[in-house]
Amino acid sequence: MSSEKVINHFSIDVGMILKDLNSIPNPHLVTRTTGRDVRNAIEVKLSAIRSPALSVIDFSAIEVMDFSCADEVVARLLARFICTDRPQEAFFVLKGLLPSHLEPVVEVLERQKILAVTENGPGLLGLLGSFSSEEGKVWEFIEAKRSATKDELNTVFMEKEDQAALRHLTDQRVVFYETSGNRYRSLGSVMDGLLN
Amino acid sequence: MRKILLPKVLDFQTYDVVFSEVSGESTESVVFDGMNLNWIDPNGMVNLLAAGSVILDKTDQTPSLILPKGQEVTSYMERMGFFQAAKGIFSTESLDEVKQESATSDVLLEVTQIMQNSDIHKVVDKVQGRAGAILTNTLGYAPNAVVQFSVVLSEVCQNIIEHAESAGWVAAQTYNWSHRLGRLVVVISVTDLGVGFRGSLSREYSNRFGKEWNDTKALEAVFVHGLTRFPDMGRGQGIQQIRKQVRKWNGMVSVRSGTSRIIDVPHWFESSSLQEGLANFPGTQINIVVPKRIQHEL
Repeated sequence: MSSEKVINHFSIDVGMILKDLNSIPNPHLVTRTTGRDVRNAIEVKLSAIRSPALSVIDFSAIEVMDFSCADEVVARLLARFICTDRPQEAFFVLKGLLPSHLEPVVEVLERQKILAVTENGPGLLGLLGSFSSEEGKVWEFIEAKRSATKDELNTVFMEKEDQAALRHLTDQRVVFYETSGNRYRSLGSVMDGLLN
Repeated sequence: MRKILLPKVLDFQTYDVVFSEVSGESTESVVFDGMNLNWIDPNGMVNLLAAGSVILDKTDQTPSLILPKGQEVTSYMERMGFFQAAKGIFSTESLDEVKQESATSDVLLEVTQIMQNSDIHKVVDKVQGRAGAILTNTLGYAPNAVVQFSVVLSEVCQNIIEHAESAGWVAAQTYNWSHRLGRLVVVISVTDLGVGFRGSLSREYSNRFGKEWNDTKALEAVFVHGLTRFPDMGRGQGIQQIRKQVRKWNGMVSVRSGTSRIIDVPHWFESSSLQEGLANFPGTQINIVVPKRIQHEL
């Protein structure tokens, strides 16, 4: 099944958003005010996209990212779309994170107890945040296979902890449950659709 | 006219002397006598501006500043942008004596006023351009330290905008602490004239502490426990992250607010981690010292 039929892709260049904010003269994602403005701009862009959507947030043009901005642009954005009263169905992949961005991003994710998917190279995704060994194992399995049916997962992951891990990964929206196919899909499988 | 004598050395260990002179009730006009000043660091400069501002506020007259007799000190203050920042705080006739010098490359970050978001962006951009060579070649840090340094600056400056409800100043410079430490250091100083930690937290936390609520409790709440007046999760990380990073660099962080100062004391510095009963002064004063990296400390 083609991923485009299931989920819409949408790429957001954070560097371009910063440029569009007239008050910000440089490629640094610093200060809470800037972070709030950037998050608002992302949410406005997202609201124009039909659900469900996979949004690739591209940080590759960003030089410095501080903790306040990481909290606003990453943690709060993701948290808003994880909660049950989310404005729309959206999934996120963080792209172009430099090693220096990872420390603030991981810190704010752990603090808010949320998970995020990051693209470490073309088609190569990783999980960020604080997760259990079971969650890591289930996520890696789905990511490697790109998709797995419920039955398949029930066969491989029979332990109660593994089942709980799958539920948590789904709630955290780092895997995508496709009701029509009764299967779990990795966000990587949707990214494959972007590459093809 | 009241004369406030500046010490010969005006830095993070001596600016309290000036604050205690300034904190009295007197509304008499003031002259700051810097004639004998022969050394001033970023803490000295930004806190002299703060002291001048408090006097201006109390007396409704701009205080005078007698310049150091040593041309080197005046010249250095000019290069650090002190006199530019002092316009409107100290009387102009005292500043007119200063010969304008063009900006030079030996300054890490001139005295910069922080009033709004864009000021912090400018500070980060400036330091990104200047600090790389200093941190890697001179202080022995890994190349990515320049970004971490910018993040520390950003977070420390945001303390002014997010909590002080007032303007402030930041400055940073590299020094050779040959006598004190036997090595180079970077000194970052940030000061504001805002509500201070106690003022920022009072509404949310004063009832919890009751009669024990004071500057020390407020400092501990922010510095040690990461509390903030904002109820949402994700806030209150700034000072915590600064402490964490500076600790990795084997550095020192001190925060003075109201009548107390709290310090993360590194092994190379002798001080108690808490100082109380200081002269009451508005706002918050933050001092960060990052020493040159030494192999055996890695």
